[in-house]
Amino acid sequence: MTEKQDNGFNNLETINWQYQPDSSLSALPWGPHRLPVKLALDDALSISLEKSGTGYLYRREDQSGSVEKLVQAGKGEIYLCPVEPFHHPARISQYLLLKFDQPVLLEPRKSLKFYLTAPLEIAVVFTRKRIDETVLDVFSFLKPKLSLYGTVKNGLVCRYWQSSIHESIPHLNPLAEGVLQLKISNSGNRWADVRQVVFSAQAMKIYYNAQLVAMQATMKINNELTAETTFIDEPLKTGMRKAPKQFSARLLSLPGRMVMEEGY
Amino acid sequence: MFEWSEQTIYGTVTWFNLLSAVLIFLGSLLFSKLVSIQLRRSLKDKLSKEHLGMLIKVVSYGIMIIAILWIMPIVGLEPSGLMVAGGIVALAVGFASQSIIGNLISGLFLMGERPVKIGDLVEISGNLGTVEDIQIISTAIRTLDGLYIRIPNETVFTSSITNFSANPVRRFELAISISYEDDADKAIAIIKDLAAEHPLILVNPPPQVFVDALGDSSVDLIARFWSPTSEWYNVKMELLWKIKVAIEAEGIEIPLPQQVLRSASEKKAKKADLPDSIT
Repeated sequence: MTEKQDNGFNNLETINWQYQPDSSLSALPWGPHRLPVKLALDDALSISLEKSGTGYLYRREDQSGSVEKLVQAGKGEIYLCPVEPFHHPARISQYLLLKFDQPVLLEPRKSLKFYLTAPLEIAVVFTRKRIDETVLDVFSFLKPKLSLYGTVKNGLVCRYWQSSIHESIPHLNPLAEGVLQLKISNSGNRWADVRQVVFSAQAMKIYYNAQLVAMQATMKINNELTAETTFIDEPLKTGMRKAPKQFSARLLSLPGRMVMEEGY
Repeated sequence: MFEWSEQTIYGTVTWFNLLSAVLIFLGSLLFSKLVSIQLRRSLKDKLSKEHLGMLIKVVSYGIMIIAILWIMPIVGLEPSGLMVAGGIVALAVGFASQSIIGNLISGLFLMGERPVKIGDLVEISGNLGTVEDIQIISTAIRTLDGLYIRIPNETVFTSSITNFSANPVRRFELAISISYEDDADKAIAIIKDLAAEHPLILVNPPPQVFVDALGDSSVDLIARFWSPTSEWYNVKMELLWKIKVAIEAEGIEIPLPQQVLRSASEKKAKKADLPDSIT
């Protein structure tokens, strides 16, 4: 549910957003928001940009503390958008490992489509009359965890997330988790016992609308040990917007297709 | 038409010889440049930047040395004559440059083996630090207290190297002691919960926390955690104190070393208290 309040004294517009699992009408406060503004998100986190001198003071407050930044800019707006979950902890992982709650057994030459959940981070973007943009901050409602995929010698450090398997789109807090539609195809000659899937960070294609953040991906099982994963660059529902990528050049050089060589 | 080219400049060297020498030199220069570009293109994904740089230098200098040896007889200089004339000098220089050649060859072998790369945290012949530069003759490391150490490649090659950055993750261990009166299972659960909360402790390989020894004054626990190689030391520094605070908050005591002393009279008195059938 979104509520707007206008404090007439300093023109600070306050937007309260609460996640309500049963309501499909609680539009997400993506923005753009005119400044100054304060967003109170799900009682857990608040962000604000208030006038300070000739610029603005950006402040984010959550249970772990607060972050403050001085933004020296003229008129502008901010908007929120979902981004790949690799900023916290920073510069450690370039892969996402989704561990299934229960294994999926798939017979040879068959495919299966289902829904998983994936962790998200939210970027706060300052935009100046659509001329240019800069990311002020990236935050997450989730506690990040890491895991190793593969061996200690050659393995990959991955952002870890455990997900249930859903037959339809699950109800989620869209500022915390996104929906991932996964199609697994077993092109091998034996049954496949799938317990996890690993994706390259570079390949993530995130789409969002007022109610949902979603991705589509495929996993092609080649044999008993290897599988290939990649994201599909299409929205899950019509009218969804594509989230901008928040990557350094270092990450952009990674291949989009991930080959899982250490089992699945 | 080209009679001028047959005119001698000095000795038997003609203008044609001199022109040929210049053309060979410039051609070799161009050839070495082309080889360098081709090497850089074809090996940029296979070799690290510093190793590729070294390889290109060696190949370029090699081409130019061959070119100079080729040019020398054309311009009237006999390399064999020079070698004989400079034999004694060469011998002296050879002895003097023995270690340099050794370091150079070791540098080439290190390029092939690649036990360390720039930015790795390593221990080489007792020096712990981050590799700053790998040259053909020596390797430079910056110790953790900021000192610059240049180690000859022969030393690097012949000594044992511990590379702390070779693998993406590493394990570290913390020792925690609790008193005999406290519940070790509860302490283990608290430590595992802390590990599960910490973003930089890996889910897989899983943390291990167990009773390692029944000590003189305490029950000794060992906690083993895996963390990204770049982060393990910060996590280790942070976690031990967090564990201490968390287990003490749950009423678990970290005991001081202690000894229970019993006097002989106390023993006698205890014996006297026992029923006759037992004594």
